[in-house]
Amino acid sequence: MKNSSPLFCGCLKSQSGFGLPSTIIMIVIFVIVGVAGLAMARQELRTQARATSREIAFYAAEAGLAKGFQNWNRPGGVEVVGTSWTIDQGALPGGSSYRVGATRLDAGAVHAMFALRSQGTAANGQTQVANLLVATVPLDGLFKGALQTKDSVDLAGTARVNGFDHIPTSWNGAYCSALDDHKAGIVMADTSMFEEVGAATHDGVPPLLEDTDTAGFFDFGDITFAELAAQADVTLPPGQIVDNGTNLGPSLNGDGTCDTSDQWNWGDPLNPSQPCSNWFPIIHATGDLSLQANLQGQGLLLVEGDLRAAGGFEFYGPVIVKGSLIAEGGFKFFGGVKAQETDLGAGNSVLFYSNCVLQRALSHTSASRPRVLSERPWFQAR
Amino acid sequence: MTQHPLRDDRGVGLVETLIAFTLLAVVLTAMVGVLIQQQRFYLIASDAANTMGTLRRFEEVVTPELLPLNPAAGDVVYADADSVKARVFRGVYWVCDKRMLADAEITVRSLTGGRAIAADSALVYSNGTRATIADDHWKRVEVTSVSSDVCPDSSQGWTAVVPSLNASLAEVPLGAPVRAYQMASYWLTTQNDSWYMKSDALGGSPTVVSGPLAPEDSTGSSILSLRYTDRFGKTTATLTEIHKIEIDVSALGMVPTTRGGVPMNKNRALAVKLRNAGQ
Repeated sequence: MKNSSPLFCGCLKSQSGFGLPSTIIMIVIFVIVGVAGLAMARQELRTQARATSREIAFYAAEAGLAKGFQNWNRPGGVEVVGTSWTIDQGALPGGSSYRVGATRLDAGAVHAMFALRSQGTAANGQTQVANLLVATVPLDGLFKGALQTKDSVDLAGTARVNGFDHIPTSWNGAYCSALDDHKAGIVMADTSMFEEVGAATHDGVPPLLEDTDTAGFFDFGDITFAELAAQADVTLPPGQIVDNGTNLGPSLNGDGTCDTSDQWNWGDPLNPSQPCSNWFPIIHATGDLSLQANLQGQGLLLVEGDLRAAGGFEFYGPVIVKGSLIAEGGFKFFGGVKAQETDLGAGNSVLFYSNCVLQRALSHTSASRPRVLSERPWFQAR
Repeated sequence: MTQHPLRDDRGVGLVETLIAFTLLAVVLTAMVGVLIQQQRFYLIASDAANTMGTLRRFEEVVTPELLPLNPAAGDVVYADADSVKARVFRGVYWVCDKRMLADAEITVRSLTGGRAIAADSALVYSNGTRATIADDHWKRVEVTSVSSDVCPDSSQGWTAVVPSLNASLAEVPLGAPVRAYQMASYWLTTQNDSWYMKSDALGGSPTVVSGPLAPEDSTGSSILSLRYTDRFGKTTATLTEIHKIEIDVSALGMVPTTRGGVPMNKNRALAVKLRNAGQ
C-alpha cells in the first residue's frame, strides 16, 4: 500500500520557507552591530588607556627630573657647550621608567647653565618629556687667600700660612698639573689685629691683605652656610673629639665601592686611585670640634663653634669656622680657611692655599648641585 | 507514475496566505525593531565616544598651555570662571651666538623640537649685572624679525633681531635660554546655539578648541568652571598668587539617550599644578 502522507512522500522537501534565511540575516546583522559596538568600545578603551599612559609617562618624567636634580653629577669634559650626558635612569613602581640627562648650555662665564631632560616611559611604551633649566652657582673667588678672618690672627711657633697656589704631592698629576693664580697669605678685615712672633711665616700675593667687605663672610656666594650645613653628609655633635681612637678613614662596601654612609669615612685624600678618593663629604660640626689625630680627611668642613687641631691632622678642602681656629699642635690644611679669628700659636700648623683642592672639593660635594633658574625653569617638549 | 500530492491535489488557500503574511509581518517587525534599537545603541555609543573626545581635546589643548605658566612673574594677565588670558609659550631656545649691529641680534637653536622662533615676543634669560644667580631674571623682548641661520657649531639656528636688548646684550650670556611666547585667551562662547571653548592662540580669528560643551543648568555653572587656588589650596582672585587651576568641564552629546530625552552630559575634572609657580 502506498503511503500518501506528506511526511513520507517527500512533498515538503521542495517547499522553501523563510525561517532559516531570516534567522541567518538577523544573526548577521546582530554580529555586525555587535562587532561595530565592540570595536567602538575597544577604541574608546584604547583612547582612555593612552590618556592614562600619557599621564603616567608625564609623572615618570617629573620623577626623573627630581632624581636628576638629586643625583646631579657633572663628569669631566662637559665644559664644551652642547655636550650631553646621562645622569640617572631607573624603574618606577607600576612598570614605568625614567631616563634623565643634561646638556651644557653655556660656557660658564658667570655660572654654568644646563638643561635637564627627563623622558618618562609608561609600561606600554608611551613617553613624555619634561625639562628643567638649571645653573651651578659661581664658586670661584670665594677664597681670597689661604686664611681669611674677620677678627684677629695670631701666628707663633713654626706656623705657616701660604697663599701661593699649592698642589698636594699625592694629587700632582693625578688631578691637577698646573698651578693657578696665587692668592694672599692672610686676608683680614682689620690688619692691625695681626700679630706674628717666633719663626712663624706668612706668604702670598700679597702676604697680608686688608678687606673690609665681610658681608656674607661665611657664605659660598649664593649658598649660605646654613644651606650648606643642611646638606651635610656628616653631622657631628658639639664638643666632638676626633683622636687616634676614632675609626676615621676610608671604608668600603662589600662590593668594593666607597661606603658613603659611614660617618667616619671622610674620603681618601692620599690615594687618588682608591674608591673613596672622590668622596668629599660635607662635614658639619654643630658646635666645637677637636681634631687630635694623625689622620686625614677631605671634603667641606663647617664648624659652628671653635676648631682645635693638633696631632698632624691633614684636611683637604675648604674649612669654614664660625668661631676660632686654634692650633694645639701641628696640622696641615690644604685649600682655604675662613674663620672668625685664628690662633696658630702652637706646633707646626700649616695652611696652604690650593685652587686644585678647592675646585675638586667643591665640584664633588653637593655644594656644586645646581639651582633651578629663576621664574620659569620648567618646560615640556612636545 | 508517481503523483505529487500537494501540487496536484491542493492549491494555496486564503488562510495559508494570510498566515504566511502575518508571520512575515511579525518577523519583519521584530527585525526592524531590533535594527532600530541597534542603530540607536550605535549612535549613542558613538556619541559617547565623541563627547569623551571633546573632553580629551579640551584637556590635551588647554593643559599644556597652562602647565608652564608662572603667575607670580606675570604670565597670567586675566582669569575668571570661564576664561583665562595668559602668556602661552611657543618653544624654548638657547642663545648660541650674539652680536650688536644696528640692533641687537641673537642666534638661537631649539630645545623643543626645531621650530623656528616666531617674530613675536620672547623672554630672554639675563645674568643681570652681578656675578650671582640672585639677580638673574627673564627679560621681556620683542622679536622684530627672524631669519634662518646656523650656530657656530654648524647646527641649525635662527637669528632674531631684538632691539629691546640693545642696551643690555652684555647681560645675556651665550647659552641663555629664550622662551618664545604670545598672549592668548581661552574663553567660553556660543555658536549655533551651542557652547564652545574658543581661543586666539593660533593667531587670526578665534578657533574652536573644544565643544560642544554642556549648556548651562539653572545655576549657570555646569559648562565650565575655572577655579584658581594659591599654594595653600585656597581660592584666590589675585593673579600673582595662582598656584593651581582646577577645571571642571562638561561636554554635551548630540543624540538623546532616550526617546524624547536629552543628550548625555559627560564631565571631567582637572587640576593643573602650574610647574613654574614654585613650591
